Amino acid sequence: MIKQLYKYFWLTPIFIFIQVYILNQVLFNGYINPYFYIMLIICLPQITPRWFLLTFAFLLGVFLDVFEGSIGFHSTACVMIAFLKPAFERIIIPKNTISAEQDLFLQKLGFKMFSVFAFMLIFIHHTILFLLAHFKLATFIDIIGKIALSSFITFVIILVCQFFFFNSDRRK
Amino acid sequence: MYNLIRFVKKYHFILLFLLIEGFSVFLLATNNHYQGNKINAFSQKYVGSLHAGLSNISDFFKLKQTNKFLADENAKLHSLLEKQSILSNDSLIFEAPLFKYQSARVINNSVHKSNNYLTLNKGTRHGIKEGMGVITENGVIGIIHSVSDRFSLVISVLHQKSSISVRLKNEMFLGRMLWSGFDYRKTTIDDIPNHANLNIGDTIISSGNSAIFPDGIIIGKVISFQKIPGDNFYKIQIQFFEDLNRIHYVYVAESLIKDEKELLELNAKDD
Repeated sequence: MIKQLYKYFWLTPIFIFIQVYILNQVLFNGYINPYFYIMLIICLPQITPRWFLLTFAFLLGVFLDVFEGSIGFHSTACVMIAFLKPAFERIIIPKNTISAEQDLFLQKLGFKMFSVFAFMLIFIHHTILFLLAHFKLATFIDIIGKIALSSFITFVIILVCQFFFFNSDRRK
Repeated sequence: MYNLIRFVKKYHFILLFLLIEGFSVFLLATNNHYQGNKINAFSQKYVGSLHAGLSNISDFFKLKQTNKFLADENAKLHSLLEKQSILSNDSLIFEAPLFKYQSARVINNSVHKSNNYLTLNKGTRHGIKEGMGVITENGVIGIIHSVSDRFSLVISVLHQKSSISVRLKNEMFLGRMLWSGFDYRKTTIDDIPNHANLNIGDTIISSGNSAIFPDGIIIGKVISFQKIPGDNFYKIQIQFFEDLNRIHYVYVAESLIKDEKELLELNAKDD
């Protein structure tokens, strides 16, 4: 089972790098703030041991926090979605759709199922993150707007990434 | 005992979740105190070199912009020098300099979080100390928060805790600049009394009261203000002159009078 997870170790630095040095530098209007690195958590296969899921999410969050100079924000949000992920899998993904060792990629789940699954996790992650970050000083409508817009853009970026992965699988 | 092990085994997911999430929230809650500073110092030391290396690449693409900035600056200094020479011909004015400046490069910057920091490529080795002011030609950027050997971390004006003393350019009313947390081009000003004569487009400058920033640095212009019934102060929104997302070179201002001033004021407090 661990063999399936090897690639997540070398993907982690790449995703953090892209997130911190490319996506965080691009700003649209102060409201759109995509965090696409959570794709690593979303795509972990169903067979992943639970303890690994939580620890991985925590470490991923901590790394991002350190790079952003904040602490606790990303790790809290990441651990929360890692906790909810198995439950969502049970609800959204019917049995026998996908073998348990496979990564939860778009081309394996189908567009509809993947969208619902990914968007819900993204939305929860962004809600926790932005509520924590802006709780004190922003108005409610500002926060809702930021959560909705950012979730949508994150979702679009993750979809595009999925096509990228899809092609690389085919070449093999 | 056996039951306990079975219980832990059965609910290990929830227990581990509670443990890790609890730890995260603990980190979050202690963020602003000792722990936060320690993490910041760590990220400055190691992540700082990475930021510096990568900003070397992006510097290359900004060369054109930087050249223009330097040319403008030169022109400005030349014209100042000219004025100075005219003045000094007919009168001799000795004025001790209040501030010493040195330039620094921004190697990491953020504007979209609720608490933003910048990293500069100068540290204790270059004489940077905590509490110095960071400015540019068009505005106030922040205050040095902590320094390592080669880098320094700046609390941006786009930070919940930053509160900078400002005043209206044409009147002496003082106010406090506080960031509202969303748009990096705008900020709010409190504490300007509502009998002040205020108009849209008025310039806001730094007050120089705190001896962190020199007096009279332009910051922004008023874009909206309202009188709140029952409150004696205006609620003012201003727009920065400086585009804080694009700053590249900044000046670190070292106050030469700060210690003297603070000592004097401390004496007054003791009485």
